[in-house]
Amino acid sequence: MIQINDLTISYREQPVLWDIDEEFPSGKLSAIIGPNGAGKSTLLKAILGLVQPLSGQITIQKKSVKEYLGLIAYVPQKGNIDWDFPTTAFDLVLMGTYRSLSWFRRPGKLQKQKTEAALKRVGMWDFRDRQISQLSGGQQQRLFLARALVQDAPIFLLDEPFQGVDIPTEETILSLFQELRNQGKTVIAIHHDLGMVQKYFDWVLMLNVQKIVSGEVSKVFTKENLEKTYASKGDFLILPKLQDKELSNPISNSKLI
Amino acid sequence: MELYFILVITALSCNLPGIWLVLRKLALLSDAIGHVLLFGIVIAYLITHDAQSIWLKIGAALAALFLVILVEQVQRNRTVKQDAAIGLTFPALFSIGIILSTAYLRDLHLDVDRILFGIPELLTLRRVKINRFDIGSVASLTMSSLLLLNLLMMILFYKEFKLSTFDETMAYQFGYKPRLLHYLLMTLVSFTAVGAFDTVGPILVVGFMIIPAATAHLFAKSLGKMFLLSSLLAGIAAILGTFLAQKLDTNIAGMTSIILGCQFALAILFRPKSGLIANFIRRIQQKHQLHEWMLLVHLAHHKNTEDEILENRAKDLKLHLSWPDRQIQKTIRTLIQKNWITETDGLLRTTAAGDHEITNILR
Repeated sequence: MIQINDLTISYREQPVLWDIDEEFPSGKLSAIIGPNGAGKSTLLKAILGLVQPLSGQITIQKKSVKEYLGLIAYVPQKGNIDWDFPTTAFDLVLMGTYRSLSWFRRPGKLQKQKTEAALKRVGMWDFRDRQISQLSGGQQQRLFLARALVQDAPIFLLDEPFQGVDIPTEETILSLFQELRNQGKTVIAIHHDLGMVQKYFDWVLMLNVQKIVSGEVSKVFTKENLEKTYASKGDFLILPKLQDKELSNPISNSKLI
Repeated sequence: MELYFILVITALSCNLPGIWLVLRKLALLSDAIGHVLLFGIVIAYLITHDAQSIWLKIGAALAALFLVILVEQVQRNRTVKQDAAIGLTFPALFSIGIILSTAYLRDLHLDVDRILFGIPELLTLRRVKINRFDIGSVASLTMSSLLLLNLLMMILFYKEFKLSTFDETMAYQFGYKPRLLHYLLMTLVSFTAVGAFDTVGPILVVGFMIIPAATAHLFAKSLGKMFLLSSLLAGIAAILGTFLAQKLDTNIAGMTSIILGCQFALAILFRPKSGLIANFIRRIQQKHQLHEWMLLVHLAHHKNTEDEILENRAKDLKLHLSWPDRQIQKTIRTLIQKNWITETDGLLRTTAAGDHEITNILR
């Protein structure tokens, strides 16, 4: 269980996250939604210990950052990587296995087998020898997922995994999420497509510098809450086709995808 | 012969850490380090008052590390980017070095040539002797040990450098201390720069560190290939540069730098697929193809219409398309060769194959 208590983070004097309390459930698909500048990425970075909080703490299974860091596989936004780096698709995924290696140890047969399995899982095995800039945006995103898979972590944090991907990739990601949940893993993803949240996710945190609301999608994913989340920044809210009937029905896990 | 040896091992030892600088987008740092060495040397001289002291070199290396730390600090509060931070700090240190040396070291003669290019030609004259037994020149011993050090570090920390260069966040998350690795790399760069500075001068140090790596980066699909290609290019430039400089009786460092530059220029020109020449050829091909398509479509549009006889006669096409004669003749020839059109009594008509092609074009 990921527990966040009284978390406040600021860049300079401007708080980007204000007094957040949240408990992400284990073994579920959680979405973090909110307008631009709501502090979504910052929250993920705080969980990873990449930014220092002004107040509050984050614990996972009662462990502090240094101890729990090994439990997390993080999928950053694609833009944060130099895609011209001289490395192949296979090599990029192989780097995910470095987590299990100590200093000076080179990846061996076991690591290469894991890499092969992950590449096949995301449908990228045929592209393994491509230099990574020679791949489409969706293919690059799938590599990132494969790189997260080989880390054998119980918790997955993803920063906008659906950003600019094609339909096959979207399907791959969704089926992968499903599979991970069935294995009892915890998945937390920052998200923009509200319709998708409603359809595929179990838990949602609505964020706009402050926490607006969080809870099971079936209970808290309402028009009022969404408006509260998006309206306060003056953004236009384009709601997905929300139907009251759908909202009141709890979404059963087995029917997903 | 020993001169060739010295140049090649200098090239290789500069090239190894240089590859990481290029991949980390820190190429400018090599130039900056070259400049602040003077600052370190002057400060060390002012303390020791001994121009031969080993402390001058240690001072130079420390100054380089000081620069790296300074750059990190300036960049840290996020108001300036890394390249700007480098550009802000090293001229300051360099200027202090210049001011101090002109104020206090006026008696010390500083030769611009010597400072910019070193004097590789004299390298073999300074020998190291143990019990009157000549074991090599100072330069070849220094540079061999630096090459060995760099090689050892690259092999030991290959995986760590790679991960922290490609994805620093992940390296941190996996427990490979990226900041420590950064300083380790910068220490290697500083040591190498100090050692090679004496051998070939700062210009060629920057050249060896950056240019072969940048050239190899244009081609290499994997990091291993980049190391191989980059080392090969650096080695070839060192040998060719030394050879030509001796033949033409000119400066080795200058000549070698030029060869490195030429390698890069040739790479940019002749790179397959995305090179300038490949691009040029592709653009011409596309232009020709467009002309063929335009003419074909024009003929098809007016085929079997009343004005066909006016529009589609070879000699009148000029009037309708406003193309130069040569272009029209050439395009007609190509289309006939491709069997997309036929010419009878000066009238051009599309063939069945040509009509089929048009459905592809206009799809």
